[in-house]
Amino acid sequence: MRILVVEDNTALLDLIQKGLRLAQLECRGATTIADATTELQNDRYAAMVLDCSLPDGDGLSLLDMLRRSNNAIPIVILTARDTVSDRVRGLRAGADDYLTKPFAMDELVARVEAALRRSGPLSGRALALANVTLEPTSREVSIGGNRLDVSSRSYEVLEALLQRAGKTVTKRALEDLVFGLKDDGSPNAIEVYVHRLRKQLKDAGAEVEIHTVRGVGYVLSENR
Amino acid sequence: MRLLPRSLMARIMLLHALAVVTTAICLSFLVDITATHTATELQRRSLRDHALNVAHYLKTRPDGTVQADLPRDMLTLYSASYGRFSLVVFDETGRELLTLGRSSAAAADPGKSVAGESYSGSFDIEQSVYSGVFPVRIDNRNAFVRLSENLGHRDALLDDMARTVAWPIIVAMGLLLTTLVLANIFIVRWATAPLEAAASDARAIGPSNLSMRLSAPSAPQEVQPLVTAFNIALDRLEEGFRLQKEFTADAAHELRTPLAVLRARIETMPPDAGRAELIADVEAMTRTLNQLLTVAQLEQAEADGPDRSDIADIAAEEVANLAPLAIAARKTIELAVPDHAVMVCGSTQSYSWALRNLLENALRHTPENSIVEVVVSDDCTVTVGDRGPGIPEADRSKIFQRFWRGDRRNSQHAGLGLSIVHRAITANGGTISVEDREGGGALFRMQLMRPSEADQAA
Repeated sequence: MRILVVEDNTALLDLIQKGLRLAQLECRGATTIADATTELQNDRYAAMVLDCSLPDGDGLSLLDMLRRSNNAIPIVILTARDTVSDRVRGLRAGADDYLTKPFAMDELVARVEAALRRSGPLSGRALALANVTLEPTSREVSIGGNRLDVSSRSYEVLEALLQRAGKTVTKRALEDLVFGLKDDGSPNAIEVYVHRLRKQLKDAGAEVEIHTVRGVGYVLSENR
Repeated sequence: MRLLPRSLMARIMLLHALAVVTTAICLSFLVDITATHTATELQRRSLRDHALNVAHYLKTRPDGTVQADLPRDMLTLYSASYGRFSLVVFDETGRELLTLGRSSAAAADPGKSVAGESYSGSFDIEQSVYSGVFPVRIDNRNAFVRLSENLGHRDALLDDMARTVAWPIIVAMGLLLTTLVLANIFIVRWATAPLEAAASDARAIGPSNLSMRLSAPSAPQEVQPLVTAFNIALDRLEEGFRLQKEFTADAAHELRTPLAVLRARIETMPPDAGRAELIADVEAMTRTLNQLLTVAQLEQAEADGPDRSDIADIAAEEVANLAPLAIAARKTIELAVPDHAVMVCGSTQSYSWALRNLLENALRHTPENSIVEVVVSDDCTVTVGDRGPGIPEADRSKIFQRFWRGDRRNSQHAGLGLSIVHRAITANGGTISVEDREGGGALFRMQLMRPSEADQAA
C-alpha cells in the first residue's frame, strides 16, 4: 500500500514523506502533474496527497482527469487557498479531503488514514485513542485490553467519534449515521446513547472523554 | 468661467437670453432707423413737390425781385396765423428775391451758399422743423427756393407708424423670441438625453459588476470621446481589481507553503528543544497571515455582489470548528440556535470569518472553566458572550479599529480580529456593538439584515 505525494516544493515534499513513513505509510513523491501521471500509470497507489498549484498546472485538473477516467483513488488536497468557494471547488471536483497549508503533520496523517479507511485499504485497521481500541472487523471495543460490551448503536457512535477524534462530530451527523434515512430516532435518542456510552467508558476506566458541545455535537478527546 | 452657472442647461439659457436681448435691441434700433429714414424721405419729397409747385406761380418783377401769384388756398399755408410754412427765394448770388411766411424760420436756416439741392430735418419733442433748398427756374433764370415746414408737433404719420407698424413688430418679435427660447429648451433637453442615459448607466456600475460598460453606439458623436474614455477607465479599474485578487491568492500561496515547510521541520525536532513554543509561534504567524488575507478577501467578497446565507448553520459550523480548541484550553463553548434556518443578507464566507474571529477573541479572554455562549435568534441577532474582563466603556469605540489591542504587551495577536468582524458585519448592512454581559464579561451583539429588508433598502 503506497501513497503518492504530489508537491512542487521539494523541502515540503521530503518532510511529508518523512511524516507518512513515521506513520508506517509507504510513499513516493512527484513534483509535477506530468510526473504524477506517469507514476499513476506505472504503479498502483492506495491514495494521493495532491498540492493544488503545480508548475505545469492546477492540481484540481489532475483530480478532474482521474475522476473522469473513473479512477476512485482517495485524494487529500493540499492548498494555500482557504476560502469557502475554494474548498467547495475542490470537494466538487472529487477530492476526499481538503487541508490548508500550513498544517500539522499529525493532521495530514490522520486525514490520509481516514481516506484510506473510507475507501477500503485500511477499513480493517483498528481505531485507537489512549487506552481505547475499536476493531472494525469484529466490532469489538476494548479498554486497556479488557473487552467492553456495547450496544450496536453505541458502537456506531463510538466509531464515528473515534474516526474524528479531537474534532467536533455534529449531532445531526450521528443521527444520520445511527438511524440512517429511517427516521425512527426520537430527538433525544443520540443524547441517550452518548450518555450511556460516557458512563460505560468511565466505569471501565477509559482515558478518553466525550465532551458535549451544546447546540452542535460532541468531541472525543484524551483525558488530561 | 466662474461667471457662468455650473449647469449646462442654465448656461445655454443664460447665453440664449443674452442673445435674445441683444437681438431685440439691435432690431429695435434697425426699425427706428428705417422708420426715421422713411419718414424723412417722405417729408423731403413732399417739400420738394411743394417747392416746385410754388415755382409755377413765381414771376420776375422788373427790379429783379420775384413776386408770387399764389392761389388762395396755397397762400393760407403761408399766413402768419397758420405759421407752418415759410419760403425764401434767392438767386445764385444768394440775394433774397422773395420771402413768404414766418421769416424767422427761414432766417434761422443756414445754407444760403448752397448751390445744389439740400435738405435737413430734425425731430425734437418741442418742435420739428424740416427745410430744404430746391433749385428752380423762374422765367429762364436759375433760382433757389428754401422751403421750411414747421410741424410744431410730431407728425401724425409717425405716430401712426408707431401704432400700426412698430407695436405689431415688437409683439411678433417677442412671441418669436419666446418660442425660440422654448424650442431651445426642448432641443437642448432632447440633445442631452443620451448624456442622461449614459449617466444612469454609469450610476449602475459598482464593484460587483465591473464588467459592465457604457453603450457607445447610442451616445451622440460629441459625447463619444467621454463615453470611450470612461469605458477605458473602467477597463483599468477592472484590471486593478483582478490584479488585487491575484495578488491576494499569490501572497497566500507564497507565504503559506514556506510556513508549512517551517512547521513540518519544527515537528521533526525533539520535543525538549522548545518545539511546542516554536509551533505556537508558527501558529500565531499563520493566524496573522490568515487575518491579513481575510481583510483583503473581505473586500473581494464585497465586490462579488449580494448574497444570502443561513446564519444558524454558519454559527453551528464555526462553533464546531472551534470547540476542540476550547476543550483543549479547558473552556466551554455553547450554541443556542432555532431548529430552522435563519436567513440573512451576506455571504457565508464573510459571516464565517466574522464568527471565527469573534469566537477566537471570546475564547482568548474567557477564563478556564467558563462558558462562551453563542445565541442566534429568529430576529437575525447573534450574540457572543464571554466571561473575560469585559470591554471598558472608554474602549468600546476603539476595539473595532485595525491593529487595536487591549494589551499592547501581547505580541501574539495583531489586533485584526475585531476589525474583520466589524467589516464583515457592516459591509452586509448589519450592526455590531459590545456591552457588559450579565454576570460578568463582554457581550457582542450583532444585528444582521434580513433578505427582505435588503430588498426594500435596495
